[in-house]
Amino acid sequence: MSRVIHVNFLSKAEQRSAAPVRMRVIAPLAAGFLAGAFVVGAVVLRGVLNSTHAAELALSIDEDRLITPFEESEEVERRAKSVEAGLQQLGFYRAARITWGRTLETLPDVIPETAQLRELRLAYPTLPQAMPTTRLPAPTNRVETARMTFSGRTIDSDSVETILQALRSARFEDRFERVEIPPGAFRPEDRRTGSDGAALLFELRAFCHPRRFE
Amino acid sequence: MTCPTPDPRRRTVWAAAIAWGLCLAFCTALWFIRIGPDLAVLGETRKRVAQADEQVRRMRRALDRREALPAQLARWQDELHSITSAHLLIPLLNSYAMRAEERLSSVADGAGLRLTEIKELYRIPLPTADAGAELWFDRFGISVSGAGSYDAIAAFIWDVEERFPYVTLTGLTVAAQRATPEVHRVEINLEWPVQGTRPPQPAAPRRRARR
Repeated sequence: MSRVIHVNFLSKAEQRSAAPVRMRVIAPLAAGFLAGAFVVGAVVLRGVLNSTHAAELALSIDEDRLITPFEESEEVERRAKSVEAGLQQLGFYRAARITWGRTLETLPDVIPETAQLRELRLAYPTLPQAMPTTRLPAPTNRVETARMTFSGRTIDSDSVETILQALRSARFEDRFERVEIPPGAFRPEDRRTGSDGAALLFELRAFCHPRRFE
Repeated sequence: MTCPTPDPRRRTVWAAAIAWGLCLAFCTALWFIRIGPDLAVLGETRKRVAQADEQVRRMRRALDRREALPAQLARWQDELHSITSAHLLIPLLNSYAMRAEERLSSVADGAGLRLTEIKELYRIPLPTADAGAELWFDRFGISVSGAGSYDAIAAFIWDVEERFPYVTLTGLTVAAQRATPEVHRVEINLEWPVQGTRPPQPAAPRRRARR
């Protein structure tokens, strides 16, 4: 019967690890790699920082180059807005204009021979009737409505109805929204004025289309 | 006598520890001295670059958008000048009434209307006055009194409206006269746009005092 006996004659100082990777080499190597990675990272970071600074500088040069034409264009835009606002105000004013020439020239055609107009009055009640002593603020209401009043005398109340229907007809629909005979509009003519009392005084009231500053 | 030999395993551990210690010290120093501050500066710089980039883009967009603006402005200025020089009522010897008389007398003569008095009636800012604008216009009321036939009155108003496209009739009173049935007394209110100044702000509504 045989027995195998392993005898290690190496002293402790001469013994080596059997592992293929030796700790004595790998540990400083790994530390060196880590330190190297940090150095590379710092270098790359500095490069990125430098390129960002360069981009900032380029943008700053661009901005300096653009600032003068930009400010000039801002001034042009401000002036353009001001001029446009002026034109717009005048445009609104013109759009609000209502012409009366044609209406007034047509009016005698609708008055029958049995009626006589003695007064014709057109008024915008919201407008001042005397020069204000102080400068007024701009009115906030952009719509103004005029009223036209026809006063006259007739010997036949049918003629007033004829005038009323004519004023309500398509000929005047672009000027008058509504035409009415106000209460108490008919009354006999005062004899003291030399009248024989047969004539009637009448009044018609027309509400005109509004003047819109829009 | 033999020299004591150090334990090689212990030497390996010491070497590894020293290497890692040096490495950590180096990395920490590098972080605090260079990488950390650089990262902070990079963050700030990138913010500034983004802002500057946005600003430059905004300026370029605005410049592109406003490329045609000077020509547009010139057209608008011409248009405004042509309107204001031709259609606004400009005072004559500091009087709007005198200017109105100068403009209207030939029209009245043509229509056969006899003018007796022209006076200034009111001046109010346009309701469309733009607070942001630098140009304001007022409405100037002129009262024209005269006498003539109804046809002359109607012709006068027609002619005024034809010749002055910015003049508006804002009031009219035609009254028959017993003595002269063919000649009526007339008062015509005409409104002209005039150059104004910044209108005063409307007064704020008063609050009711609490009891």
